[in-house]
Amino acid sequence: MNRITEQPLDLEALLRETANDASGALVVFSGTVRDHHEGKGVSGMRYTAYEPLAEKVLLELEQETIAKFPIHTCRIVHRVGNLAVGEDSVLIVVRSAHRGDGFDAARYAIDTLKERLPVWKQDFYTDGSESYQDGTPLPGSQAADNSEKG
Amino acid sequence: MEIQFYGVLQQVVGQSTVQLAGLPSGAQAAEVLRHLGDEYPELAEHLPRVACAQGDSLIRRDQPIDPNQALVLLPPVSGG
Repeated sequence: MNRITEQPLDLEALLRETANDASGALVVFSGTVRDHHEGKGVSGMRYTAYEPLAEKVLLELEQETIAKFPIHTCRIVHRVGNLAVGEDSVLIVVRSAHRGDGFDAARYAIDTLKERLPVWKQDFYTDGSESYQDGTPLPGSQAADNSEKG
Repeated sequence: MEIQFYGVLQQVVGQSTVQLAGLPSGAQAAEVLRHLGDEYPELAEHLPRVACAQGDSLIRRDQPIDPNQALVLLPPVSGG
């Protein structure tokens, strides 16, 4: 599976791919399209990505998470395109010997993804309006550099 | 050179790609953004929060850009 895909995310495939006898813990994080945002009803979402960089960011984040925590595997996939309420937008699968490391690693992976992955969320509201959600400036933007210096 | 927009920037400019002419050779990303802000004033308020990329790499503002590759403008991200 590509890390950035228009296809519905396949958790079963990730579980098969990462199965190993040394891991006593499996942690799955799933980001799911919800039906509300800041008090407005949401009918669906569109995700877009700058794919050349996004694929690289996810690969590096998997490797970084494995290097940083005592875990066996970390796999991350993110969906793009039009998603309905209830569909998964992101899946993170971590397998480790012990549960604490697995929880810590999965949390690190999703928190870091939100800071680094060039993906944008566009909400479609039940009142017929739509808007891009504001997000986190990437490294290299003036805003991110100023906040690092500050 | 070609400039590509993502996310809200596409809405702001009304297109996903524009051509920017009149850049000096060896221009840094910051210089391209200045030209772009002059050409498209509606972008000005967004530019401080925009990161630049070419191919699969982010580029710093003080880095010279490759005029043969598109410069990609990435607004604040909201994945997950």
